[in-house]
Amino acid sequence: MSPQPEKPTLTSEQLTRRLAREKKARAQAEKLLEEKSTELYALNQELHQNVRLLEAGVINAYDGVVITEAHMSYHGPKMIYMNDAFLDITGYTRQELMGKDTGVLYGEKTDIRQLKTMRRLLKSSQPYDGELICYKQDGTEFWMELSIAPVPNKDGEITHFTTIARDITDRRNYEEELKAARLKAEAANMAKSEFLATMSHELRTPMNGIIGMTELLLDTSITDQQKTYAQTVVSSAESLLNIINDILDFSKIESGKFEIEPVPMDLFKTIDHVVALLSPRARAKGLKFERSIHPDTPQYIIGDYVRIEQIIQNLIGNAIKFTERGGVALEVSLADEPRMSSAHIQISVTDSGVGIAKGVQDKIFDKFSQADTSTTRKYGGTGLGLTICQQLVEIMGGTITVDSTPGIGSTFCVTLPLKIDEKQGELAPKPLPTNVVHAATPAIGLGGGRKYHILVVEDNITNQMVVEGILERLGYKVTMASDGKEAIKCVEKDIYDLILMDVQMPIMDGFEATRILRQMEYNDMYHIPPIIALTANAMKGDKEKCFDMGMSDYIGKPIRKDEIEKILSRWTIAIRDNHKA
Amino acid sequence: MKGIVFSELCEMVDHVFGPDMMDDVIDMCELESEGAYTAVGTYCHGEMIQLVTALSEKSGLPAQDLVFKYGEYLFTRFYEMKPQFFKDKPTSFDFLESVDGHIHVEVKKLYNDAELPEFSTQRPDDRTMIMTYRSKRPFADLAAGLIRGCVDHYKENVTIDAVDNNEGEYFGRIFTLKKHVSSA
Repeated sequence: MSPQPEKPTLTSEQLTRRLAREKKARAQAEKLLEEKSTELYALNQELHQNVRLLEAGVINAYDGVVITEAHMSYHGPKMIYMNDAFLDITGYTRQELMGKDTGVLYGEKTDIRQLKTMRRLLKSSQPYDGELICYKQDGTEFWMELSIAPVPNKDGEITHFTTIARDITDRRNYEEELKAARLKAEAANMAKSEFLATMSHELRTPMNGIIGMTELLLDTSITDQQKTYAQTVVSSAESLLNIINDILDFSKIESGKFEIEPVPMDLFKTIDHVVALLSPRARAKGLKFERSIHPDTPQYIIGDYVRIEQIIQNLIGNAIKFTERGGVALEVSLADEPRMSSAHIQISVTDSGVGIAKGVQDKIFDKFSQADTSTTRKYGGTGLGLTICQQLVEIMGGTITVDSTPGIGSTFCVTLPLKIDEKQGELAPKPLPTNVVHAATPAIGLGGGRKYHILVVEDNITNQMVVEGILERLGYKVTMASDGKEAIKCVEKDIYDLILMDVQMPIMDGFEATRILRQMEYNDMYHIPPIIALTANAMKGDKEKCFDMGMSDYIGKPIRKDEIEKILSRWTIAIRDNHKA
Repeated sequence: MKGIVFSELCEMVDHVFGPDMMDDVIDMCELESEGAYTAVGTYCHGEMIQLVTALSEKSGLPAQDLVFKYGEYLFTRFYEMKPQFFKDKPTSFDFLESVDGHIHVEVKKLYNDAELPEFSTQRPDDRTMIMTYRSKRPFADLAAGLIRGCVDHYKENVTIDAVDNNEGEYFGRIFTLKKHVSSA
């Protein structure tokens, strides 16, 4: 079966027959071609219809849809399909985009990091969702939300990506505006809180002068009428001071600068302190004042005693304020069984006062709100007390509730989660002598009958006058220094029994001066007496800072004659005992 | 049966036996197509049997040999027409393995009505491949020629043993291909 060596020649008859066969075959082929074309056309139509249905029914008609190849060039994958909505969004024609990579849509402001993230995710066959600045055909930038999903073939190999694209420029702009407005409002609110905090602080300093000087005035020989006037000045100034304290607390809470500092504390002592403080006020109004502590109540706990005392004081103060007949009762108990040395302690204050109407009971914790505006006129106050109480309770993780019937009375109930102090009685670092000694006789003679010598370091002239006046009246010998540096010079020259040290001073502040004095003592060069801080800084933590810096005690401004007398007598007794020993 | 198998047969007959032979063969048969074949058409496989029988009668060569030779020829034509199927197929085994899973899949895309034979393959070891032909049409000899053509195309020293394995209405043949380390 070897091929014929010569090219075969065909007869004309053979050629005619072959031509007939070829014609027939061609006709068949053309018919098949036509059939195939018709079939393809029909299939194409069906496909288009399905794509339209898919776009209209499954995908939002306004959402752009793009299909790209999976292979990614440097500028992104190549687009092989896009719907009309995508063309509307981008302003391109289909011819302009078909076969181009997605990079044509990006530009100067497109976030490169986002693109990198997108690339990384898609390369590892994970979907990507994000928002990008893109550019339209005419160069206009717009925000596009993209949701890209990889499309695998039946072997799980990623062959394409489908993208749903949305123009979210309006939404982004709206969000930006909202954000800007929110930031502005927050800044304004912060500025307000800071202004309040600063103002309150500034207000306290002149209060020193008013209260201090008036107390000095009361000790001079004045007429009874003048004495009454002066006492009114003191009590008015005290009310004002309370209001200022409220505002200071409130603005600190509002500006987020408020911190709770739990330390070991004696709950009973705290309660007794409040009772001792407020019972005269109840007595003055002819009200009965009862206090009961349930036997199960733990005495030693870990808590912020300053704030717990403030809460109780506020509730009892309110109860006395709004009660004309009957009385006020304070009850302290356990709210549940202690677990893992944690317990919920319940403090309730019940009065037989005016009560609060049901409709406004939940409003009374709102800031600047009292049950009704006439309350403010009748009873006074800032309307911040309960708000502060509620905020303090919440910061401590507790709850505060009220139950009240108008005309019958109210019960405020605070529940606080507190840790029980297992090492009972070992309270916070106590640099103070524990015995509180009342009203020591002024100017106790020391050995040779010399007066106690106190160095007062204070920059403010008014305060210098107040302190000097009080101390001399109490029989102490006083030396004044205007700043820390001057104080050190004084100590180098003379011997003092006590130093009262202002904290904020020009040239050298109280902390720095104390540090240097303690260093001098450590080097055994000088005898340094107890240093007592004297400051208007009411910020939480200041007291601790004073102790940390080597100070022995703390007197808050405005300086009150009673307080200074109490603290000084405590220290002079300690010094005297020391001398005896 | 796809038209290309017919049109290529006509080409080969013209080439090998001269133009008279094909005309005579067509005259001897009763063909629905009247012997007019286009590569893209589909024709009854009975026409192929008629053509081969007539060619055997006219040439005096056994039909089996003719079909086998045609298979070898068809493979060379296939390589000429579709070189893309040979890409990344360095050996005959690699190519034959791709017939069912790849080439026939491509054929189906173009002609979804095509009834294609099955060619399953196994490789019990590096040098051996078992290829099983299975079809409703009796063209195992054509398959044998194609396989031989493939091995020859790759210029490999491979021996092919074949055992018929008909089952019911299916025609079958098991080809065992053994590759030899070229000592020749």
